[in-house]
Amino acid sequence: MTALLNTWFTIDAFNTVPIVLYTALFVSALLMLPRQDLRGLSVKFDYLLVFTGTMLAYCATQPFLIWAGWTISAIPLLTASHVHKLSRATVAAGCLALGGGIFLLSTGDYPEWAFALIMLAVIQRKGLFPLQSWVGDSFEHGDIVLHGLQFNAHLGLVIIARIALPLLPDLSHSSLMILSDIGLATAVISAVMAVAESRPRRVLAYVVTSQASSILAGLEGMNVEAITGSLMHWMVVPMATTGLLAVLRMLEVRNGGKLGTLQGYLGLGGRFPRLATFFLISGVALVGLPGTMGFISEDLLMHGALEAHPWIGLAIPVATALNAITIYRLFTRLFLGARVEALPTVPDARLRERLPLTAIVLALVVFGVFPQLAVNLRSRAAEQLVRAESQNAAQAVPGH
Amino acid sequence: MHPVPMHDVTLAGFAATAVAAPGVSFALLGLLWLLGLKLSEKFVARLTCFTYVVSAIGLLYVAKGLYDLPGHDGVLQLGDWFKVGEYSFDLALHFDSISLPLLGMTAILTGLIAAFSETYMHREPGYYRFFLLLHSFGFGAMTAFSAGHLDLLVVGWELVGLSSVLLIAFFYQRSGPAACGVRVFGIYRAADIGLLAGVFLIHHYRHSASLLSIGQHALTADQATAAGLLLLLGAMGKAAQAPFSGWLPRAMEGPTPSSAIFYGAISVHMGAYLLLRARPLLDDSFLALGAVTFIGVFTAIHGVIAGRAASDTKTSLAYAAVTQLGLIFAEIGLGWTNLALLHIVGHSMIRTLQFLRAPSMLHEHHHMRAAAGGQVDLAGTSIESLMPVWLRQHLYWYALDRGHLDRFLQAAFVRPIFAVSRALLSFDARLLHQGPHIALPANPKAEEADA
Repeated sequence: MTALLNTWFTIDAFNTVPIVLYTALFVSALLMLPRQDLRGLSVKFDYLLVFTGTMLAYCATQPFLIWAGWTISAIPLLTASHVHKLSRATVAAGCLALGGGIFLLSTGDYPEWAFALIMLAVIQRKGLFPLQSWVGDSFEHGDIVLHGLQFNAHLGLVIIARIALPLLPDLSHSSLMILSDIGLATAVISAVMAVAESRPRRVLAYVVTSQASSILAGLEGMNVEAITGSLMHWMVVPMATTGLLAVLRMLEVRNGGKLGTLQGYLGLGGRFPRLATFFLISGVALVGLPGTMGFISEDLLMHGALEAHPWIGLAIPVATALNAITIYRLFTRLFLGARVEALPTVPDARLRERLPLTAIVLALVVFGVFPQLAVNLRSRAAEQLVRAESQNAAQAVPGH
Repeated sequence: MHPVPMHDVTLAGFAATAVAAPGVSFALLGLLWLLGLKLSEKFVARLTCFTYVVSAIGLLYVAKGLYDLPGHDGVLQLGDWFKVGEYSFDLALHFDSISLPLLGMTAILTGLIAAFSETYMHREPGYYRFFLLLHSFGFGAMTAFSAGHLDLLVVGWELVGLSSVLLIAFFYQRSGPAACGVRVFGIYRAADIGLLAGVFLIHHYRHSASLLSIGQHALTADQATAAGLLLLLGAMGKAAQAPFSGWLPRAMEGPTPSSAIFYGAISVHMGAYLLLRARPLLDDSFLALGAVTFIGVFTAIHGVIAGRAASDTKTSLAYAAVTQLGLIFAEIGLGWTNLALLHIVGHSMIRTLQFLRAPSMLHEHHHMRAAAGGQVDLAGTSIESLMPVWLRQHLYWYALDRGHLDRFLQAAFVRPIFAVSRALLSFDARLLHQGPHIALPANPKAEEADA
């Protein structure tokens, strides 16, 4: 039994940090979520499915188990009636594409088709252009924290590391470059989309999609610096996003419903200064400003991407600049302006909200000021990935 | 001549303390606020003054130590901030005849502003926040001016930018400062694309962004042109050079002491400092040097004209600063770097004083008027009177619209980005059959204007 478990599951340099981080974020989200959002058995079951599926995908070594985890974590979105049917169809297509790709891979026939289907699944799950609509739709109409956690599992990267790189060495080398380019294009497109959007949930969806797409930029360089940057960005985006989405949800509950279209200044900062601070620090970390972990990951990413392809790598500074403006603009719209007196007297961040948010913000800042520990945690996994990829590249060269 | 490593432990200690002191105070005040401790105004102000006195003493000691070093040029290696593979981000501080005057100026002026603000900001609800951001700004400026390589300069540069924007929106209950903050942040971030891309391009060419690696003939002419123009874009944004000049008057929404130190002295001169540092690289590119000079001269003329129609003191001072900054850019472009450095220090001092006196100017004018028996001669109309009427009208129209530069930026960048954004959003909405439900802004023009 133990041998079987060892064959099917693993804990290694690649998945240790995501497992710990995701569990911590999941517990934090459950602690700080408004009680009304966790009412009902089906909601609790949805959270359980997302967590179980993600953990299964993180720990599994067998492709069919990874697919099972991928699909289980997608069930809450597939069954969400308030989310548009096209979004659900996109997510279902992603599950089917991954399943089909893994099936073709197991037969050994048509490896090109298997690879194409797997890449399609990655594009869908990462919300890459042109399959990004489901992210905005699910954030807007669904449980924003639940779908945020689902998106931030970044299972697309797990597929690349666990399936594409080791099992399809001949195909993965050049295709990863294309995937990275699609990621960079998505980073810019989503950042541009966020500029004219005025619904806070959608704004965050586009900014998060843009920043999460930058994670793939590390594949452009395929060197230890760039991949470490990607893996660190994989830590930053979920932490910062959970902070932002949770604060937004807290504001919505205090406001008595969704904040709708922001045409003016809500002036909530006077009422909720601590929530404003948490939102600002999380936002600043997400867009990679100094003093936060986001700066370190962006620095490594940009070095890696620009070192490999200077002009393509310019997409990251452009996307990051637009996202920074959008996040600051959203901050001003939510928290600045005349103090709202009409709101019922509700407290600023409660203790059960403050503690998880403080932990998230402290992690973002402490690892931003003293980054070497976080860098060490991820560089070993990066070295393994780069080694695997260079072996693939060597095999791909005829006569090598 | 290459800088000499600063091995003397005492000298290194003073140098590191001088730069780190504002950062330590920022961390301390921030932590105490997070813990919910309430500190008295007096304690906060005294801590701030103490911080900058320590910084100034440290810098004096460093200046004395550097005097004994060959070339009066020293570099302090504090180790790697982080390291991965072959890449390391080293914390190297560079003290020489360019950085020391600016570091000294930052310590002295920030300390003076803190002393002034103790009274000026008394009983202001955001008193604590003001001093917290002042420390963040001071630390950013110290880091940028002492950075031994461009990566570290970017860290300080961004900290200064963020502190500036948060202080512009200091009076957050009014929508004006909030909107101005967004606008300034937008310009900063747009120009920072140039800085970041320039720094990474230098990395790409030289495998290092150390200030020593961008010496003369380190790059080919084409490489120097590409990197130089990108760095120039970054410098233009921070130094309010045309066409980005419109943000400086808007930044005056913040408290007067912060306007004085940020937009009269330190922050606006960081662009010129960057160009002084990149000067060896610019020397290899005729195009980049020409661009620096042209932009400087154009900005100086623009500042003179636009400032004539300014209707309030702080806006007039802002355009006066724009003019001087333009001249400093032109001096750098023409190779008069020592003059530019002197100009930066002199301009910072006089402009800080003018900004600090701005709130009491009307009061002083009344005093002067009373002393003169109710008659004070108007000044500043002589140049206009020499011009033909049609030219005066055109220049007045140009000045009123601030050189049409904001309109140009709006038409060239903001509107196209918004148009593409709306097209993408509407495609997304149609794809999901959400049609009219999509919340496109009710008033797109107002949205764009705000952006």
